[in-house]
Amino acid sequence: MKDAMNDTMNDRDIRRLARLASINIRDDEIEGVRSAINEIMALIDDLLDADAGSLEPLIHPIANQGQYLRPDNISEENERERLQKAAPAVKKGLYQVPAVLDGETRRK
Amino acid sequence: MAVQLPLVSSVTAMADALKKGEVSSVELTRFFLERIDKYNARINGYITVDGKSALANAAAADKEIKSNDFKYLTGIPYAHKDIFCTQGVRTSCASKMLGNFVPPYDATVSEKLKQEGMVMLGKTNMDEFAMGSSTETGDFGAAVNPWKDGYVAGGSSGGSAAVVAARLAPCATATDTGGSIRQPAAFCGLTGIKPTYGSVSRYGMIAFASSLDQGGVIAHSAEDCAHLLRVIAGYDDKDPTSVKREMPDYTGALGTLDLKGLRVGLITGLGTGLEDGGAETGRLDKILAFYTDAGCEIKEIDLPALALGIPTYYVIATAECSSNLSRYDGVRYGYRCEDPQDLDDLYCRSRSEGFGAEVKRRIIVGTHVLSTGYYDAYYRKAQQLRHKIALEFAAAFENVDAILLPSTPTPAFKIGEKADKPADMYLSDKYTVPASLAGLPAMSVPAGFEDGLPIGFQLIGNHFDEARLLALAHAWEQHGDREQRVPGGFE
Repeated sequence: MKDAMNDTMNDRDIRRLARLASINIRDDEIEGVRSAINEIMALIDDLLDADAGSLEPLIHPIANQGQYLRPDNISEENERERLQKAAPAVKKGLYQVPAVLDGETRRK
Repeated sequence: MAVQLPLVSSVTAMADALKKGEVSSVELTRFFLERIDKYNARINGYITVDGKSALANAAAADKEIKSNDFKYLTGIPYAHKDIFCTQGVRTSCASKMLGNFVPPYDATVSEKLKQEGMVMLGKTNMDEFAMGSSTETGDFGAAVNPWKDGYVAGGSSGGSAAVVAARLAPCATATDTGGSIRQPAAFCGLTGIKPTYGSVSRYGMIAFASSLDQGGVIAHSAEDCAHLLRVIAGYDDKDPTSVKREMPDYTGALGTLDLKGLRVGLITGLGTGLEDGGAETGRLDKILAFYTDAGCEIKEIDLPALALGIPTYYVIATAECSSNLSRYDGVRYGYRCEDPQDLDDLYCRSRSEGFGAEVKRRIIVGTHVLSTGYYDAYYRKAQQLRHKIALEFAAAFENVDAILLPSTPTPAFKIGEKADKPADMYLSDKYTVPASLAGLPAMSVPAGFEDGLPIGFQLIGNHFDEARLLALAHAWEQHGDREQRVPGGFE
């Protein structure tokens, strides 16, 4: 199993993952990030060869405690103004972001 | 009555003194605020102190006590980990991302502490988003161990442990994902308990890895922890992982539990991969002797899957972290970069500038283990191994009532020693992650000192068996050999 995985990640792999996570990595950071991540993956890779048999993945550690639905009742009031006080930019009750369509054309 | 250090080293003693009118909450609060003024710069334990509100709340508590309308811990000051949302008080999670975040609501835990009439002194330092084992990864610098300058207080709840050890608060809230209550408690010579997963509501407790995160407390004794846990635990319909059942009577067995015949499990060789030639487990000898003399039966148990605890934990924790932290996008709250060029630039730069190095590493690892082609090999496999670990614990608890093991492989290490070695740092969690993976209650109890630094031992119990764990710890703490000192320079 272990052979099937990439043994170590290169700069391109790291940049691809960072891109998926919407994180920029500067050129002067990449070496440090790559080496730390490879160090972490070496630790994690120990589980690739482990035998887990046909066990079901464990979702909640307490037996029989699945996700349940709450009653379909309205419990919260609309507090838009109060909640939007924490927002970096708000206009007419809406969250303000750069123009999306303009932005798309500039995207590399 | 002048407030003195022995009194403020016990929440229960303070509660009794308050009820008898021997001391007021304002006096206690003022005492701690003065000590915070004097000592906090040395340990960097608090990142926000709210003295004015604390004194106002203390005065309100005194009024309640006078009018005979109070709860057991009314008027007791406490320190609150900066991961719990506090309405109107900045909650930063020690991250630049939330450096300006003033929550519009209270976490359920914050609300419960208010309902009890307890007095919040301030918010404590931690690793950024609780990701770390040394309180070095946050935006506010390292918390320092009051027992030895230049040494870490542990993490992620290092600020909480440091302020309690230095008597800048009598007790503190904390959270534990893979050891973040137990390890700092051990490093600072305190008692800390992480209850069964689902006991303490996660509502308003900023998420790191939701299937593991659990709130708890750090204090000077198991007795204090039991009283505090009673306040914060309980089903909450705002948290869908909260367990719907009556919580145990945490204080019920203190001093009354019959230790005779109680079966205490010792993990054989501490499970493959956990052994170190005996140096780590040798520290348990005097603890074992105490429980044996008290009539406990020590039984060896085998838990081979624990050897995979660290890789299993770091797959699940990073996967959940990458998912949970995707909410920080610079749009609705939190840090936003200057002059974003477009929406994509807004997301990427806000996240890159707002998160610290360790958080970014974990998000990237989590993104990897969840990505197409790797999900089954890493994430699904880790969830299966987690099941295996939980089953081994369940089988062990057929034969034993509690499991005893070290809390940490070493006493506190030097600040900076492991900061650039993430794998070394992760390995220091090897004794604490297994209970987290299985959702079991676990606590760290002071075991003495080694080269001037405290060490702790750990007790793990079956789900919802906290009362027995607390009583076992209490019995040891009542034992004559216990040293309850104040760290040098903080007297």
